Amino acid sequence: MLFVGQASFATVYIESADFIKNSFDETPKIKSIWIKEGQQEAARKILGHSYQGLRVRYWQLGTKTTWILEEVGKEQPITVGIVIDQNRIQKVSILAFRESRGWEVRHTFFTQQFINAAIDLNSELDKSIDGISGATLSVRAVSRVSRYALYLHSLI
Amino acid sequence: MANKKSKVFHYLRKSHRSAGIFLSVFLIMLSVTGVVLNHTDELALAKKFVPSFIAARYYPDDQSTFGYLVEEQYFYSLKGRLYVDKEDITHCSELKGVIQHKQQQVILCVDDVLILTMKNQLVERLDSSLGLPLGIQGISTFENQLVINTSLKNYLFNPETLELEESLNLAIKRQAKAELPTDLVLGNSISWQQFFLDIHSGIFFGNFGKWFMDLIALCLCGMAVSGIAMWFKKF
Repeated sequence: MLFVGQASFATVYIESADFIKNSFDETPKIKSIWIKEGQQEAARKILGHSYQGLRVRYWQLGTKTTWILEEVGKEQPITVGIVIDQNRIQKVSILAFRESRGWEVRHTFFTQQFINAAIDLNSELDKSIDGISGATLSVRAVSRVSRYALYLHSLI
Repeated sequence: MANKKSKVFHYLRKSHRSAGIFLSVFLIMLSVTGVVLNHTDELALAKKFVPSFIAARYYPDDQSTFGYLVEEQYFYSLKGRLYVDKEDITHCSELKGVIQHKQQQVILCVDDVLILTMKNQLVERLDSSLGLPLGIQGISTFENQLVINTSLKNYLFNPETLELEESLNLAIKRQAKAELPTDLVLGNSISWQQFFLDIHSGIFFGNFGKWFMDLIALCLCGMAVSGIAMWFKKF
C-alpha cells in the first residue's frame, strides 16, 4: 500500500533576527513575561484558547516593544512579528507560514491595515480589518495574535 | 434502420443496467467518503488518527522510526510535529536532540531550542532572534550546564538569561537516538482525513487504485450520458 504523508514545513519570509534588527534603530533589551493564569484567561478571551508557552520573550527600547508570537490559522501556526509603540501597532509582519492556504496575509496590503490599531476595553481592535477571500482563517489568526500582543504590551 | 437503432438502444439499456450494478458499489463508496471529507473540520478528522493496526497496512518501511528516549518517554517528530509519547506538543520540522537539564526538557528542532517542563508543557521557543547561533548540530550537557554544538564551536548556554559563552574542548554528553516502538509511530501517523482522502482518490489501493478510480469516474460520466440518451428515447 502507498502512503502519501504531508509534512508541514515553514515558509520563512523574514528571519526573526532580521525582523528584530529592522524594528529598532538601536539594540533593544530582551525581556520576558510569564504567562500566568490572568494572562491565560485573557488569551482564552482573545485567542479562544490558552497561549502555548509559559513565557514570552519580547524586545523593548523605550516605549517600543516587539513581539514574535504564533497562532494557528487552520491547522498550523503562523509566526507573526508585531511592533508596538505607545499601545498602538506600528508594524505587523508574517515571519513564517506553515498552512497550505491563506498565505496572502503576508502581503503589505493586508498587514498595513493594522498600523495604528489599538485595543479597547473588550480587547477588540479599534479599527476594522478587511478580510481576504480564501484566507479567512489566517486573517482571523493574525488579528487575534495582534490583539494579544497589544494586551501583553499593556501589561508592561 | 429503425431496427438497427432499436438494437443500439437495447444494447445501451443492457450495458447501462449491468454497469450500474457494478458501479453502484463505487458510487456509494465515493459518496460516503465525500460526505465525510466535506465535514473534515466539524469532525476534526485532521487531528484524529487511525488505529495503528490500520495504519500498519499502508505505512511505508522507509519512514524514520528513531527518536529519543528520556525518562521513559519517547520524543520524536512526525509530519512536522513534536510528540512526547502520544502527546502532540508543538511544531518541529526535524527533531535533532533532546536532553534533560535542571528539571526541564530541552529540545532541539533544527535551529530552535524548545524548553518544556517535566510535564511536557512548552515554556518557550528560543531561536536566532534571541542570540542563538545558526547551524546548531546538537545539544548536550557539560558539568550540569547546557551546551549548544555547532559544526565549528560549542557554546555554554543559559536558557534563563540567554547568555551564550563560547567554549572549546568540552567533554560533552549527548543523548543517543532510540528506535521507536512501531505502535507509537503508527498511532500518530495517519489522520482520518488522510485515510478517507486516500480511499476517495483510490490511492489507498496503490498507484493502480488511482488509475482505477479515474476509470470509474469516466464510467460514471458514461452512465450519465447513456441515462440521458435512454430518457430521450423513452419520451
